[in-house]
Amino acid sequence: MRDSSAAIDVTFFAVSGDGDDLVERLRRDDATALGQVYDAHHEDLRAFARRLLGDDASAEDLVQDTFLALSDALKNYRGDAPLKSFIIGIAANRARHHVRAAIRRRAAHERGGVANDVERAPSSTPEDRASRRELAESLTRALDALPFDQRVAIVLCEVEERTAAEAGRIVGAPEATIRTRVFHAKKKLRELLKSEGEER
Amino acid sequence: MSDLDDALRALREEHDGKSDAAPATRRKLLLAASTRRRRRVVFLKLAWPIAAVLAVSTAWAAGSGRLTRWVDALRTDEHAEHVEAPPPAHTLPPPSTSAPPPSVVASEEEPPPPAPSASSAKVAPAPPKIVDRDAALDAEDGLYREAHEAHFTKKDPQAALVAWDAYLAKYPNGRFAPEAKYNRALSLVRLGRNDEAKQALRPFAEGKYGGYRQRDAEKLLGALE
Repeated sequence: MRDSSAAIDVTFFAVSGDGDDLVERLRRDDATALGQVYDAHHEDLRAFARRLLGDDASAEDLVQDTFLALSDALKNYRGDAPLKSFIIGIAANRARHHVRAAIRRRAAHERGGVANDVERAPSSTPEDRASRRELAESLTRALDALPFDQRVAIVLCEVEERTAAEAGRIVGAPEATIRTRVFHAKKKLRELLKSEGEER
Repeated sequence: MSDLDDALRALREEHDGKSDAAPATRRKLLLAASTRRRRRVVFLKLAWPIAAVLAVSTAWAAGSGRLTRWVDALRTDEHAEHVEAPPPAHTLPPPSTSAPPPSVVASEEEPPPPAPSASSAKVAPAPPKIVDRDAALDAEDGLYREAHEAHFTKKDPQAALVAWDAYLAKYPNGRFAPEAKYNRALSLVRLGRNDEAKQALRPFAEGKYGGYRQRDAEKLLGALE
């Protein structure tokens, strides 16, 4: 987790081009406006969804669900947070049942011995890629054991490297609460990863 | 670096935001947005004219005094639908004439609104105090009030019958016509004019006035047979 006092909150700058007009058009279900916002933010949203859910299909569902809910959700948008954070916040709020779906799907895959067909980021060697993938899968399994709020907090702060303040704005919780959630999540994840390592 | 840090980094690097499904998702979203927008436009195109017509109609009805009459009529209907079975063994008081009443169980007719607190079937509420809007309404209320007083306050079935007849002669389709007809039938019962009473009660029992006093009328008819 970054130190909120020292780090620059790049998200604020990244969406500085989102004007009131765009938001107003989104509220009216303007397809062009939605297309613009999708193009600007879908990759960030999908990355967050994948990291949170650990499952491509569930992540895609969450992306779609989030953008579909955007025009209604924007009725409560006051412009005091960047649109990107607002969109991630919608996703975080709607992710609860997607998490459950992803966990069920993962369990089914493991029972059936089907490996997740995920290999995207470039890496140096096949061994590196395999090792990274195994680590990511281990962490995703460990995340399944966390309470939902802790899961969201650790993905936002530790995986996506957001400040606790920004994560707090996204999920609508105080910064201290986010720090507490991250602390407990990390403690539990260390134990889970350690016990999984010992089992091998 | 700990295992956890490695795993967090691995998760970050493993999952990016690129996806082959992204264009398809985009198409679905745009289609959904267009559909919703189209529905909203259609709704607004329909809703505004309907709202305008309603507003103009209401203003016209309020200005011409018809709105009050409609509201009163609706209240009367609503009242009729919500009237429950009469209280048990509420026997009508004997008439002042010598003719004994049949041993029937019946409930007194309540006046229609605008006396909204009048909900008990036993208590005869005050006659309606309608804020007059024109002379015709005033006259109709006056006649109804007279009949009401004779029936419920003085408990004089003969006078009540005359008054209900007077009201119905002048306002056969008046705002209180169903109540007046039912109360007239009760007056006939009290006077022992059973044949006329049965004739007057039959339309209520047959549902000519919907559910209004239907069960009461059936019970009275049963007792009179």
